[in-house]
Amino acid sequence: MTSNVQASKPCPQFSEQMSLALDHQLGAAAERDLREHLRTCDACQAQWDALQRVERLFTTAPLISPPAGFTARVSARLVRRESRQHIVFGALSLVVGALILVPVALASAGKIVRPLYSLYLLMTTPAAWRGLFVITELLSLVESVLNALRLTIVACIRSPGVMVCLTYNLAVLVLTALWLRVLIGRLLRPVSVLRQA
Amino acid sequence: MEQEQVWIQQALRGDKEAFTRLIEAYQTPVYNLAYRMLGNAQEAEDAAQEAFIRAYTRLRTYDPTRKFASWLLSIASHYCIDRLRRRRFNLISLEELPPWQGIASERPQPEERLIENQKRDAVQSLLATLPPHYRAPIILRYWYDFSYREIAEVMNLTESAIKSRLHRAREMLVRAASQADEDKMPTTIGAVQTARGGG
Repeated sequence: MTSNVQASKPCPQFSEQMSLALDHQLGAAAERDLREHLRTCDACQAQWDALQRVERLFTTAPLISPPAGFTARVSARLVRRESRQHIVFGALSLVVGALILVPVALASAGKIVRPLYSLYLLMTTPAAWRGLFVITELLSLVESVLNALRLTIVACIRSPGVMVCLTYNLAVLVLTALWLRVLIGRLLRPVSVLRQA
Repeated sequence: MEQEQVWIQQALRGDKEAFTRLIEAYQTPVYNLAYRMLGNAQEAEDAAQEAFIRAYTRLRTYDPTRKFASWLLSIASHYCIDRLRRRRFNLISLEELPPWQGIASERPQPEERLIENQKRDAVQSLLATLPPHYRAPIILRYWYDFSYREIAEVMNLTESAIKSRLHRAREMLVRAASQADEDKMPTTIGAVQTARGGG
């Protein structure tokens, strides 16, 4: 039977029909034609027998289950994968954040260092002078910031890509504000701790 | 089915326990697909795990109008096909196929076990002769009883392409079985049928 399959090829017009017949996808008339053909064609009959042997072998093969503890192993792998992703994402965010903040910090350093130093002095001077310091230094800080803003807006309006420039500067402004907030918070922390003591 | 959708919704909200239930429900179908595709327990375990992790990370892309099993098996089959393509340059002969290890199944009587092992080897040896994109439709057809439409959905192909692939895959299987009979390999259909006491 095997040699028949190899000796002569099955008829091409019935070859695909055999596969359809195995899947019960052949119409009644086509199936009748196939059966009639198989009675008269040894090559096709041999092919049909071989197909059915493969069919029997495959349809009786069972589903194979994984070794015990599979669910726990997947869950553990999922946790490992997520923690690794968090570490990578966190590190990436820090690097990108730092890269953005460096030019912002450098650009605004000249305007900010002096008021911040004044702020530090304010916290360490006697209480009687603090009111005066607060007013003068805050005015100085506001003046510096407004001046910087004015210069930036003027430069932006004069540049060809107005919207891009304004958007970029707005982003820089927000980041600078956040950076300042963190920095001031750190500067104030030791003072408040000392006050509590 | 409703319970399954509840688990999916819970998993989408970040409930890992609900996803664990989905793994428990589908571990055998996914593992079996990976095993039949890749041919050894170690790779099947790794591929099945990866398929579930990919399913978890892509759960938002799941369309609830589709069968979850089809979606999950689609991820698993594509992953296995990619994996087979990556290792195509490291071809191995049928005799060098890894032994069947770590298979959790009922332990039948020794004679029955012998027949079962021979049958399993015969099936796997035949499957190994098929190219990956022909192997997947055959596995989905025989072990999951999927219709042409369902196989087409899983494989992202048309129904006529699936018909054609099944037809060609069956022809390849018949040729491989005939070749194995001629080479008198121990893991052939004939050997299985002899062990059963007739053909």
